[in-house]
Amino acid sequence: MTGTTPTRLALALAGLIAALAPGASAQEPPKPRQIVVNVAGGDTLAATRRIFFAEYEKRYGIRVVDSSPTNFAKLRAMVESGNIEWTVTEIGGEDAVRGQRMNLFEPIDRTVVPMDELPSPARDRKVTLARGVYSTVLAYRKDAFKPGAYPTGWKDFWDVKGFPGPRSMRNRAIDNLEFALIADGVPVDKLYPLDVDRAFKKLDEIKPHVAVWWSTGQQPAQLLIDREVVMTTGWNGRFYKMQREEAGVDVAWPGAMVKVGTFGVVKGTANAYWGQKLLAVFLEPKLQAAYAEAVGYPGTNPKGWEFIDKAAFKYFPTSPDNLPYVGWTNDEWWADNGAAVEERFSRWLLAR
Amino acid sequence: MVTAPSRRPSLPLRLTGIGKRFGAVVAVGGVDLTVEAGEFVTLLGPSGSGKTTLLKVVAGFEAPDRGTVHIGATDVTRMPPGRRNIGMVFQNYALFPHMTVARNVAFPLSVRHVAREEIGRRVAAALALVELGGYDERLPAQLSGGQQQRVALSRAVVFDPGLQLLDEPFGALDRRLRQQLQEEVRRLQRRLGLTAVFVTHDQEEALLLSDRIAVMNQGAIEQIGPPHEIYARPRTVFAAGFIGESNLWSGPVTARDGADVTIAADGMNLRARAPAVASGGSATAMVRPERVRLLGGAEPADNRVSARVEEISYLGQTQKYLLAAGSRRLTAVWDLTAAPVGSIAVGACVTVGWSAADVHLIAG
Amino acid sequence: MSISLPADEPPRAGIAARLGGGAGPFVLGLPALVFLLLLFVGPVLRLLVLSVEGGDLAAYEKAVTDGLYLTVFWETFRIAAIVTAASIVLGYPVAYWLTTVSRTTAAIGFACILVPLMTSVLVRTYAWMVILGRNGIINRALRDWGLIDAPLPLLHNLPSVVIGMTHVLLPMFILPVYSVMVRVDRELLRAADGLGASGGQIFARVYFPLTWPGVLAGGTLVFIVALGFYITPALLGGGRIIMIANVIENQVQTLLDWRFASALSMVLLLATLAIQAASSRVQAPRG
Repeated sequence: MTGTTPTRLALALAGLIAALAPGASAQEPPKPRQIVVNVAGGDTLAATRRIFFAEYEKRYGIRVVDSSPTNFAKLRAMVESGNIEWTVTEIGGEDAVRGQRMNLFEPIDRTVVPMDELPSPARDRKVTLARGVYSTVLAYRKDAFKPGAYPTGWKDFWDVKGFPGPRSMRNRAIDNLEFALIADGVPVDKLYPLDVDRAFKKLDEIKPHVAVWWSTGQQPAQLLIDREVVMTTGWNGRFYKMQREEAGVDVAWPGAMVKVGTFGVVKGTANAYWGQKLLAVFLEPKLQAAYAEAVGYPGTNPKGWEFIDKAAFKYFPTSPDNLPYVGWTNDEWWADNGAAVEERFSRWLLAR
Repeated sequence: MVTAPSRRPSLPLRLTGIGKRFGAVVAVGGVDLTVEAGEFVTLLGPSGSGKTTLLKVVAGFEAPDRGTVHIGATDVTRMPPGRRNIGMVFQNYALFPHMTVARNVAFPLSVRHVAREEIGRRVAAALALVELGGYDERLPAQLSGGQQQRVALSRAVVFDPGLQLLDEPFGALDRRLRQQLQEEVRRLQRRLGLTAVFVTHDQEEALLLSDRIAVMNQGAIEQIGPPHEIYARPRTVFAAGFIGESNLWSGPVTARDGADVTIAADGMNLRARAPAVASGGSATAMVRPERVRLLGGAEPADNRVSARVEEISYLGQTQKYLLAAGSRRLTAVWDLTAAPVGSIAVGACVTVGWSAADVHLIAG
Repeated sequence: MSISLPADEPPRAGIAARLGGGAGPFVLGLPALVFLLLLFVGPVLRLLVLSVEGGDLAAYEKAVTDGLYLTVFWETFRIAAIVTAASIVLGYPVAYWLTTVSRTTAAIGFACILVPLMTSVLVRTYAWMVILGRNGIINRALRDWGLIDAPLPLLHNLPSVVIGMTHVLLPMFILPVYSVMVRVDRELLRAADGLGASGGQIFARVYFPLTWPGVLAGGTLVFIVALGFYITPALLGGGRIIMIANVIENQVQTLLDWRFASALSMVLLLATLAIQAASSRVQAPRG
């Protein structure tokens, strides 16, 4: 505990200086001692703290207390009960759509958050800020195949003769349906609305070759490391370190499904203004670039690429190198059809 | 019915040189004992005397370090308990709490794969024998202690065992129940002609039930014989003290006069009839309390003592008197119907005496 | 599971009276009662209310008629039953062994049983993945000895889920059974022995029936806890083994259908209570 006292003192001093600085606007609401920000756990939390929270604390003298993981059910309960614990929360793309419909977020204050720096459609979002993107990709063990003859996309994932070995996919419908359609020849920009029947028919083909239907984010990388499977779907950040360290695992980008990772200010929080200030920090290109380098999830601000070495572009789903080949998950479609499709998927998975 | 003709005969038991140690402790040290077919023999002794260990050796729950056990002509020393065909009754009944009375009694038959109809017949007969007909479907927990022990008794005889062992079976019962059951055990044993070995530390019980009593002390049999013999002529001071009440004097044999000898002890000269005891040795003289008589003024007696009455305890028909003669205490038991006795109160001075023939001498 | 007193035991009311009688014992139980009301009955009532939100029983109708959820319920009960059977077969001999050894050995034995209980379920589950995997300890050993060419599919199937769950739940079976076993009067076994029963007969007709209350208690505990298992089947089952808790979690976290999740939970709760009630009526096998 002894370490906190100097830190707190420094924060208090910083806050005092900020308050006394001539630039401080008179209309600003009073500064809280701290705000609570809910984020996904793991490596991304550590990087978010080191890169974004540290900057925010330094700049405003407000401590950022983090909690994790993201939990839509909890967010909903919080807003419904009026007992708001979080100031800002991270939220998955499809959940962000639903959260907006359920009115769980404060609208973005465009006078505080410079949304115009973003490309469309991220620029046009009303309540949640797209800080960065993540994507579900095809990852494989290099030693399972002949050098140079590696899988390049979902057609190869489905080609169990040309690329033999057990596979792993997520135990949910989202992404799997898109991958099935891409494997069946649908171009990545013509996926929506999804032809669900066609997708399930294509999934029937791969089902016997899927050894594991993964449920948690760390499973896919572990399955590759343990040689349980030769290729798998998974979130690109989970393979990022292995890719960069040339650790025998690589990613095939074409057909990867990209989603935005968003943050929103929780409806009814007492510190909404200071939450908006955090969203503004999230948009800064230099910080977004540092974050991308750390965990493999690039930011939404295009200026961010100026701070990343061109040789490293191949590691990121939305870098100029990979952007033309990836698909974008349609959160609206999933928010509308997710429940029914997921139920159908469970039924399909259980069927013998 | 469990009647004599259908029964297999009871068998004699023969123990030869049985020894058993637990670590450094000798529980049983070289015991020889023969129990005739149909005989009821009690192993009587204080706790730690080795009687229970000896019983367990017979039952097969303990293997002896040395010696042999024969039931009939069969050497069963190394045979497992279940094959010895012994009916055992335990102090805590050992009824199976999850089985009805009928199933408990049927147990030794059903494990022997006796036919169902025969089991039914023999169980009914065995329960009738202990007057528990109609209790078939009760659970042991629904019976009194006495009833439970009767179930245990009938379970121990239902399969015609060659030998019955009873390990302090009445220890947990109150006095009245105990007397009832004692009679029942004796009746059953006589009627079925069972060879029975009974373990108890209660000398009254032993005297009442036994054909013969084996008095055990420190892992050995001190004396074995019929109850009256054990009572009247104990061979050791231990046996004299353990069975019945007794007045004892120890001292040198100082003189012989015909069939009588004189023993000097506690400042008295006791006359005892003992043709076989030599003068010059030492001996212990024993007089049972009921042999001590209240004497009138001039009445002659071989031994006379003046004493003061210190305590009177009522035993019903008789009373027990604790008398003080100088520093020496005496116990006497007198019949209340004898006229003068009723008027004696605590503090009274009396003269008591006994004949030389009522003194039993224990050598050494 | 009631322990019957001998008929001539003094009634227990006397003791209760001396301890304060009347309301006294109730007051002593009050904190626990309040605790349960707040943390169990309250949430259950809330679930109940949630499940009938909208004023009809549509969520229940779906829960008990839809083939998908019936399959999952059936699968859940089947797995719980298999795990319970495995726990009995493995745990009963261990519990018996513990009653026969010296105090020191028993203490070491209990430590071995309890230490895993204090380890996180996740860690234990991963340990099984390391052991059973395609490239795991067993497959590697078999390959090194030349017994197999291709790895055996030991992981990501029903057997591996059963193994993982049994490992986690075994202590919950051993402890109640052990506590019943140590109270079995050894004299009864000696009596059965002396009355001519063989070892097998003593076990089947005396020892097992006498320890049955422990088997029932431990088995019920294992079964009910197994019904709610979540992470172990998800990780060891390769995603193909779906238990009801996984479905409920999916409804709450992903599909946000709290009403249906509540209905599924209530059905599971009712089934659990029914099993509890039924198991307390199961008689010991007769001797």
